[in-house]
Formats: sequence, structure tokens, C-alpha cells
Amino acid sequence: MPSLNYVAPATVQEAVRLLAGASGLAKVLSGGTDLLVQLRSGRTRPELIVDTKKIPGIIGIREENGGFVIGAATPGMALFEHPTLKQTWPGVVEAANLIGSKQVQGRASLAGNLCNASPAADSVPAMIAAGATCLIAGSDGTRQAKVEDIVTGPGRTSLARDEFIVEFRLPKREPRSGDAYLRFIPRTEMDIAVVGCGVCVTLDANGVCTAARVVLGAVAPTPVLVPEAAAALVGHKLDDATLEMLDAAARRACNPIDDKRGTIDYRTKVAGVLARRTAAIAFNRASGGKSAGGH
Amino acid sequence: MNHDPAITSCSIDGRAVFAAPKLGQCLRTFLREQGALGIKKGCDAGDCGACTVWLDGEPVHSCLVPAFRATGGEVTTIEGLGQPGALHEMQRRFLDAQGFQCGFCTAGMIMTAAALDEAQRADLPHALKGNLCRCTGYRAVADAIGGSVEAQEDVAGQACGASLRNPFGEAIVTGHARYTMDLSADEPTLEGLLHLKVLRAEHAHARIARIDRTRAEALPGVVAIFTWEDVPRRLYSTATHEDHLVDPDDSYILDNVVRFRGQRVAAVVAESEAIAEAACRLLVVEYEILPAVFDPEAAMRPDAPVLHDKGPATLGSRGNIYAEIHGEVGSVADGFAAADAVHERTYSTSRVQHVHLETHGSIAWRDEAGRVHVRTSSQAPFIVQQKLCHLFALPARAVHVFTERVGGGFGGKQEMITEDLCVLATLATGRPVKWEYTRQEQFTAATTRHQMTTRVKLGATRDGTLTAIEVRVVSNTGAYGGHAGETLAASLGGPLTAYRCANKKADGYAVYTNLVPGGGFRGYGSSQTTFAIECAIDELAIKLGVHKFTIRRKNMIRPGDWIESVWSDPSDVDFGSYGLDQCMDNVESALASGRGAAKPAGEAWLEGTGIALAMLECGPPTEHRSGAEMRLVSDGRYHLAVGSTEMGNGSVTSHRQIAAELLDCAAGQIDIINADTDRAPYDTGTFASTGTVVAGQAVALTAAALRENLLGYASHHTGAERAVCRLESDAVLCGDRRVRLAELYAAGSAEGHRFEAKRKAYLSPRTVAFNVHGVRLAVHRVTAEVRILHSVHGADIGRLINPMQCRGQIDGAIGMGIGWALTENMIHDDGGAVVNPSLRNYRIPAFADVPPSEVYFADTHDRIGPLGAKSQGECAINPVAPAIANAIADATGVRFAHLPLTPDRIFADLGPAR
Ligand SMILES: Cc1cc2nc3c(=O)[nH]c(=O)nc-3n(C[C@H](O)[C@H](O)[C@H](O)COP(=O)(O)OP(=O)(O)OC[C@H]3O[C@@H](n4cnc5c(N)ncnc54)[C@H](O)[C@@H]3O)c2cc1C
Ligand code: FES
Ligand code: FES
Repeated sequence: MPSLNYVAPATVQEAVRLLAGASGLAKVLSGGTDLLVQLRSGRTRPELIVDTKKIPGIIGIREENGGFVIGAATPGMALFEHPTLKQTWPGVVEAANLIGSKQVQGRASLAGNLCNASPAADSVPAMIAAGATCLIAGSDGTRQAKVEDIVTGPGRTSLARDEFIVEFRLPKREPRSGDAYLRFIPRTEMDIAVVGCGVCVTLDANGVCTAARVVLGAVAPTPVLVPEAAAALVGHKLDDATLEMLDAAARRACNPIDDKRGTIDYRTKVAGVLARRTAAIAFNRASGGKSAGGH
Repeated sequence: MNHDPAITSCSIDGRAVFAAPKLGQCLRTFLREQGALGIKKGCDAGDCGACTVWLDGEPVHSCLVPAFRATGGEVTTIEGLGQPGALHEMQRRFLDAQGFQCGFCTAGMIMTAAALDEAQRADLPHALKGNLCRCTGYRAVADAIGGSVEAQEDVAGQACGASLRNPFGEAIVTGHARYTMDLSADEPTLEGLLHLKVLRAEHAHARIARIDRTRAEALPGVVAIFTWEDVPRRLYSTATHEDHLVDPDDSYILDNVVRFRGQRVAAVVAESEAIAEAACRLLVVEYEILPAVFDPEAAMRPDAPVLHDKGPATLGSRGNIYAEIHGEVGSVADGFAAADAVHERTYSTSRVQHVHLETHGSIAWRDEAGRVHVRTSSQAPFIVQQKLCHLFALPARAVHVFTERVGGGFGGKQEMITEDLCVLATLATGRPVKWEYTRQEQFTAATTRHQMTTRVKLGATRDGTLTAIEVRVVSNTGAYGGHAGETLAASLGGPLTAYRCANKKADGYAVYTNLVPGGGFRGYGSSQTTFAIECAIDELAIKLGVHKFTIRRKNMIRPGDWIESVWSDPSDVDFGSYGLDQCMDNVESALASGRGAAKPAGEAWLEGTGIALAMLECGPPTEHRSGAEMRLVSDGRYHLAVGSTEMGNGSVTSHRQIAAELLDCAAGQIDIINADTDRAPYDTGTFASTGTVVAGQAVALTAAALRENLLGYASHHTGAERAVCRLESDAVLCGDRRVRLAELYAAGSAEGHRFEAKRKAYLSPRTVAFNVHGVRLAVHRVTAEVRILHSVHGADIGRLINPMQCRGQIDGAIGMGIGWALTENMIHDDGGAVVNPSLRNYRIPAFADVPPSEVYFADTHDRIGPLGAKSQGECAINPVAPAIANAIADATGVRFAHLPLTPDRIFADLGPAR
């Protein structure tokens, strides 16, 4: 029988040392909602599991310089229950809260969602749109990286084998800015996105967009930041012509596959529609409205 | 290396546990090993919620939590939440509203529900998204959580027609009910238990050239490995029927040819599941790849690779066509010639899985006397016994097959697909053997609804009177032919019979292909053609400008009509009652009421209404028998033994009610056992809508006979005239003398009188039942999202033995119909592999997907079925998908003829409406 070891180090350094020292495949464990399923199905057969749960700070949220620092293994529910995070970055929190059921919410983390590297991961487009970064620990110490630089393909990340994510940082939100995330799913609840869309915009006093980030999920091998879609918004108010340009740019950025979740044509079309809907919410929030998201 | 905790210590339901979880073990299996058997496994992937427990007060999927993580933690399971007699509030609510059928999801459902706060309870579609139920359609779950009391009191003499609680309800809501796999490891019969796992084919069609087992055999803990060379070379069919000739004997326990991806290649038994799995991976199989065919039309061509070439056993077959049926009454040529309008189109339905929450599984062992015992999750334990005797050349008395509580069936368990290997391994090793399907195996290696493609041609005169009906059905039975002939016959039966028309013609083909085999599934062939014909009737009506209710009323079958499809030989189907007209009226007025949700705002949403009707012949055309035994026992209670399986269909409840009515007692005075070849009389099985009309009939006959026995003896005992003796609750009234049954028993047994009766029921004639479904929905013209706004159902099922249960069966069937119509579909890749073998990607409806339905029962009393009742659990699914398809067509002006109606498919064809 191939053996599987389980360790729960109490420090970041110890975790890195264990990862670096593993002779075979080593896997970091956060909430386990992806990893346990993959262990069971045999999709991954690690020799070592490094449980991060005992590392101080790995679960928890603190405010810092007007932004937020979120421990890598913090579950979605904790994001939702945080007193100010939801007001500041509603799109990120909504995205994280779409992940799984009540039972999954108490476990599933941002780091796991990101590093599982599914093209359809819900929190990732929202985090990229918000300009989130992460702190990565490795044998050579720590480094900062943008969230959009982590996923390199389905199931693949840019992390080295001795590296893992310690925490995420959400920047201080600009005045008159707002973020949103929406996804489109085949079933009413509890499903994997056919298309996901994260948008963050900043407006001037007249409601004209001065900066934007538009990110699509599930329409390409990785979540994609779409500068052309952002460009369609910058310099404009949210009018029909702007939405039309956004829609077209979003569709052009799609590179989906025909799979069990939907045809290429359909996903491309829905990406455009979803970009419009998400942008509308983000604009509304940026201009002080309280429009709730949907899913 | 520092491997952490060899010992986990946690508390389970207040009991301290010190034990070492295995490396990589999840909390679910760990807790079950510690005896917490109330926790269930439905998927192992976080999708179904059956394994929900509280870890330090928070609900979690225990299959997703590493067991180590519970160290120092406090685990609460359903058994710790409340106890029989001291129920937790949520358990009581599930009992009062009967928020379950098979009960397999219930432990998890209650653990989630009990942790919801007020706000979450107000949004159940969201709060319950992590808990799937396949039986109830969620309405009863919502009732339970909302605290409504649906159950009625059990009053002597009024049992029948009352909404009585399931006799095992308290055990179910407390997690004490035992299902197939709920045996604790220290059970004496299970000493030395071995675990079985199967290596499955990686090719759709191949000959096995060689299997190298050296490395697998060398793995410590492996006890035996079986390949095709180690099994009796006896052909059989996995399908279970009374008449063994209706299914082809086209299977071996293990074969040297694999005909679908996922077919068994070898079985390993080992000391643990993990070892058996690892050994499977170490088996090296050399295949000679054979050409494969997946499309039944292609498989019918003369140049197609032939799947089954077994010599005499399949003599007379034509290539891959396993069965062909042709028939015509009148002349459709004349009928079309007389028509003012003709409509013709091809419709198709998808390959779907039953997804009973309890997967297939069985446990076999031998006792000291050498008898083989099989505890299994089956709808037909008696036929399983016969098949085991056949395969292993054992006498009937050497094999005992029984069920504990069965966690759903829906036709999927009308199949012997685990028992044979467990028995093989037990006979070879002398040790108990257990095998439980994974959820993935349910999709890749169990059975499915037959995918059918149906060409329909209808002709009618200007006023909407049908002049001809012609259908051609091609059924894809996959690699094996179990149920292929019977489902094909059913597909050409009821749906055509439902309409009176002088000219009908049908051609049907059931064809082998290299896909997962088809099997029995609620609706059994009839659902597929109902979909096609009911869509076609709507299209014809539109062409003629006749209203959808009008065209159906004008042509639907009514008493006095000859009940026939396309066979003109005499039939044993008769109108025991008729309520189709009432169903139509009820659905029409409910739809017209304007109740239900409003269309979402915005011009992008299109609204439409659709209806469909369906007819069921209650019981199969093949033979079907049931027996019941009943006796009075010394304390004055009754003991009832019935062969039929309870799998959530509620037969243990309704059988007691039927008996109670005839014995003028409360249902609670009757103890029942069922589905056990040692302890109950023979029963063909619970399938083909027979639980009430055949098994229930046997119970009725038995109870009536026991009543005669009791009253006869009472008259003799008291000297009162027989005519003045009657039963009343726990006593007999003989004139003005009241003798308690316990007293009567004592007197009788002293004299050697036996208070017992046994009767058998056989199904003929068969009566008919009807269902009409209506739906109003909205379709988004761009994203093609579909929202059901109003769902109404009319059912003509005769007298309601238990209204709460009848309604539950219909709610469940509607939920399943919605899944079939909108989201469920097994998708195969070019090599014939199922690409979505998990509940994450194969989407059965969740709470949010099933709106509550208004259900109306026709006021009928059947003169054939027992106590006026007819079949009801199976048929309500049939009109659901076509009603939805018709409503979508009504909304968009575009006909979608191929299930499922997923947004991307609707989108693709929506062109003009967009
Ligand atoms: C029923 C169900 C429904 C789901 N629905 C959704 C959904 O709607 N949307 C969605 O996006 N996802 C969904 N998921 C997937 C999953 O829950 C999420 O991806 C979740 O965020 C994973 O987080 P985790 O903490 O459980 O990750 P884990 O399972 O612990 O880890 C996942 C992967 O990330 C790696 N990893 C974990 N932590 C780190 C770290 N700190 N540094 C580096 N690598 C790390 C692991 O090694 C592993 O490869 C669902 C899962 C289930 C079971
Ligand atoms: S068994 Fe855990 S969620 Fe299905
Ligand atoms: S009662 Fe819910 S799955 Fe059977």
C-alpha cells in the first residue's frame, strides 16, 4: 500500500521545510473541500498532506492600512460574518459565499479555491477584479504575488513545490469605487459556474468610469483579466452603448471549451450578458447605491 | 518524519472516543467505524449532504473533513441530536410532516435544518442547497421544517384513508433505522469481514487477452482475486422479472469480453476497502480492442460490430437488434389519407440515472450450517435468490436473501448487480464479504433509463379528431438487454392506448450499443413515448388551431373504449375506475386560477403554459405474484409478513392500513416484516407499480381470511351467532360479549386452533390509472434560463389509502420529472465513457429547483384494486417532461424536441425568439 502521511505543523517555516523535504507529491490542506474529494476519487495521490490549520493567523481577518488581510484558510462563512469586509468588498464576499452549501461554507477557503485552479472557481475573478495579492511562503522566505499570476492552467499554479499561500491582501478601496461578482449556473443553486464575472470600477463625481477591472471565469483555461472590457468602460457612463462595447469585448475574450456545462456559443453569449449585469451592479455600488448581487 | 496523531480523541454524541483514524480517512468513515451508523453516505464528494454532522456545533459534510481534524472536537450526529421518545424538535417535525420517504437523506437533512437560524429557514432554497433528496421533491421537507403537522392519529377502524405515520418513522428521524450497509463491525456474523472492489473496463468494446495478477496478489491483505476464468460460465440477465424469459441471458458474472466502459473486469476481496482498491490498480489487463458502436441507428446497420455473439443463447437475433416489436390496428395509411392535417417529428429523451441516495450494495456470509445469507438493497429479493441459486447451482434452501431498509430504488434495484460477486467471494473464501457501490459506479456501472428516439406521425381532421397515430421507437439498451424488451413493449403500450383512434401503428427496436446498459426506471419506457406523443399532440393542435385541452378531451380514452395499443389480441386491462376527465378539469381550472408566481419583470422573459396527460396500466403484462401471511399473536397483536420491498414507496405503511381496515383495528396493532426469503412469503418484487395492486391485494385477501378465521372461532368460543360477531380494535364483539384478542388467542391455542392466514395475489385483470400535469413557466430569451412559476398535477389513483403518502409520491415523481426535463443527462465522450459521473456534474434537482406543486386527486374508487386503490408511485413522472416542453414551446414559439432542455440547448435553437 502506498502510504500517506499527515502532518499539522505549527509554523510557516516548519510547513515550508516539510513541503521542501517531501520526496513525492505533497499537498497543502486548507478546508479540504476539494482535496478530500480528489483523494477519495484517486485523482490525486499525494505522499504527504500538510495541514495548515495549526499555523497562527492562517484563519482570520484583520484590517490593515484601510485594506484587509485574510488568512489563507479562512472559510467563506468568516468572510460573510466579518463586520466591515462585506461593505467594503461586497463582490469578493458574495463570490466566496457562492462556494458550496452551508456545510461547505464553514470550510472552503480562498487559498483552496485559488490553488485548486479550477477555471470555474468563483472567488478568483472577484479577487482579481478587486486587485487582491497574496503572500507566498517558500524556502527562500516570502514573496508577494498578484492573484492573477497564480493560476497557470486547469489544476496548475505558479507556486513552487515548497511554496504555499499564507494570506491574501485586499487593498484599501478607492473612493467612488465598487465591485461585484455574478455567475451563471445551470441549476438554481449549488452548481459550478458556466460563466463567472467579476467587475470593479472607480467613477468620478459625474459617474464616468475612471478605472476598471473586468475578469471572466469558466470561459478559458484560467480566469482571465480582460483589459479590452475594462477599456470599454473607462471614460464612459453606464449607458447602452457602453454596455454594448463591454458585452462585445467580453465575448471576444472567451476561449471556452464545449463541455458538459455548456456549448461554446452559449457560454460566449452568456459571458457578454453576465458582464453587463455585473458591471451594472458595480457601477451602482460605486455611485453609492446598495444594489444586491444575485447569482 | 513527524507524523502526527496516531490517536484521535473526540467525543461522538457525548461519548468519548479514543481511536486512530487511518491515514487519509475522512470523518464519515471514521465515525461509522465507531458505530455512529446514523450517518449516511450518498456520494463521498460533498454533494448530497447525507453525511452531515455537527463538528463543534457547525454542520459539516463529514465526508469532506479529514478525521484527524476532529481531534479534541465534539461531534454530534443524528443519534445524538435526540432519541426515540425524546426527539429533538426538528426530528419531531420531520416525523409529523413525514418529511421523508426512503429516509436515507433524512439524517443529514435534519442535521442541517436543526442548525438553521430564523433567516436561513426563511430561505430554504439557499440554506438547503447542500442536501439532496431524490424521493420527496422537497415539499414534505419544507413542510417539516416549517412545522406543519400532516400526520393524523391512528384510530381503530379508521386506518385506511388516514395520513398515518410510517411505522419506522421514529427510527428514521433518529438515525436508528438500519439500511443495507449499517452493520457494526463487531456484529458476530461479520467476523472476518472482507471488502470487495471491482476493476472496471477502460474500453467500450474489447476482448481481454490476459490479466496479470502477480503484483495485486502480492499486496498484503489481498485475500482473493476473481477474473472471468474463476466464475461459473453461466449466462443470466441482471434484470429481475417473474418470467425469466423476458430478459436475454446475455451476461456472465465476469466475462472475457467487455462491452461498455465500466463493465466488471476483475473483483478483488481484501482485508480493507483501501487494499482492495489498491490491488485493483495493480492488476495489469491486456485488451484486444474491438470496434465499438454507440449510436443505435449505426448499430442496426449490417456492417456494425456485433456485441453479442453467444451462439445458441441468442439464436434468431438480428445483429445488435435485441428486440423488435411491430403492430398495427386499422390502417394508418387510410387514417393519414383521411386527415386534414398531419404532423410528424422525431423526439428524443436522454439517458438518466435513478440516483437513489443509497447506492447499490450487499453483504454476504455463510452460517455454520453452510447456508448463504445475503443482505441487500434490492427491489426483488426473491428473484435475486433464484438467480443466485441458478448461478452457483445451489438449492433454494441454501440461500437466504433479505433487505433491511432500502434507501430508494426507482427501478434501479430491479437488478442483481452486487449480490452475485459477494456470494462468489463468500463461497470461495468462507468469509463474509461486503460490497458497496461508489456514486461514480452508479453512473458508470449500474443501469439507466433507456435512451429512446421516437418518430411520431399524427393525423387529424379539422376539428381535431385523430385519424392515425404512428410511432417508431429506437431504444438504446446499451451493452446488455435487461428490461430492453419490456420497456420497449411499454413504450408502445400506454402512451398509444391513452388516445382513441381507429388507426394505430408502431414499430420498435431495442438495440445493443457499447454504452452503460439500460434498465428499469420509474415510468419504464412509457415515459419516453409519452414525452414524444404529448409534444406531438400539442404541435398538431397548434397546426389545427385547436386548444390543447380540447384536442386531448376530444381524443382521450374513456370508459367503453376498447383499451388497446397496436395489438389486436385480447388484453387483460380493464377500467376498474376512470378519472382522467376529472384530472383534466382539475388541472385546467388550477392553471386558470392565476395562482403561482408572477413572471419575472422585464421583456426578456417569455411566459408559456403546457400540459400533458399519461395513462398507466397498473401492473406489468408479465406475470407478477405476491404473498402475505398474517397471524394473531399471544398479546393480541397481529403479525404481518409480506414479501414486497419497502424502499421509500410507503408500502409498509399502506399494507398495515389495508390490513387494519379489514380487521377493524388501528394500524399500530400490526407489526410488519417484509422482503425476506426466510420470513415472508414469495413476492415477485416491488416494481411495475405492483406494491399496492398486487402486494396490497395479497395483504387484503390475507387480512380478510384472518378476520373470517377469528370471527369463526369467536362464534364457536362464545356460542354467539357468527352474524353478530365483529372485530373492534383489540377485541371481538360477540353479541353483547366482548372478548379481548389476547384472551381469544389463549382460548384458541389451548384447543389447538391456529389464528393465521396466508393468501396469494396474482395480477389479472389490471386496471388503469391516469395523470395530467400542467405548468406555467418563464424562459429568458437570451440566457434561456427556465423558471417554473406554477406546477399543477391531477392524479387518478383510486382511493387514497394514505393521502399524505400519495401526495408525497406524486411530489417526488414531479421532482424527478423536472430533473429529467431540465437538467439531468449522462454525457458520454467519443470513447463511450461517462464524463459526468458525479452529483456535481450530473444534476438532480436540489430544493431550489422544485417548486411546490398543487396536487389534485380524482374522486374515484377502483373496483379491481384493493379497497378501491390503484397504482400511484410510478406514473406521475410521465406527463411532467412533456408538459414542461410544451410550456417552453408555448413561451418561445420554438419546439424543443430533445431532452434535456438545458439552457445551452434552448439557446442554440432560440434564434427567432431572441
Ligand atoms: C459540494 C461542493 C460544492 C462546491 N461548489 C463550489 C462553487 O460553487 N464554486 C467554487 O468555486 N467552488 C466550489 N467547490 C469547490 C471548493 O469548495 C472550493 O474550491 C474551495 O474554495 C476550496 O477550498 P478548501 O479550503 O476546501 O481547499 P482544499 O481542498 O483544502 O485545497 C484545494 C487545493 O488547494 C491547495 N491549497 C489549499 N490551501 C493552500 C495554500 N494555502 N497554499 C497553496 N495551496 C493550497 C490544496 O493543496 C489543493 O490542491 C465546491 C465543493 C464542494 C464539495
Ligand atoms: S456523502 Fe458526504 S456529502 Fe454526500
Ligand atoms: S427520502 Fe430523501 S432521498 Fe429518500
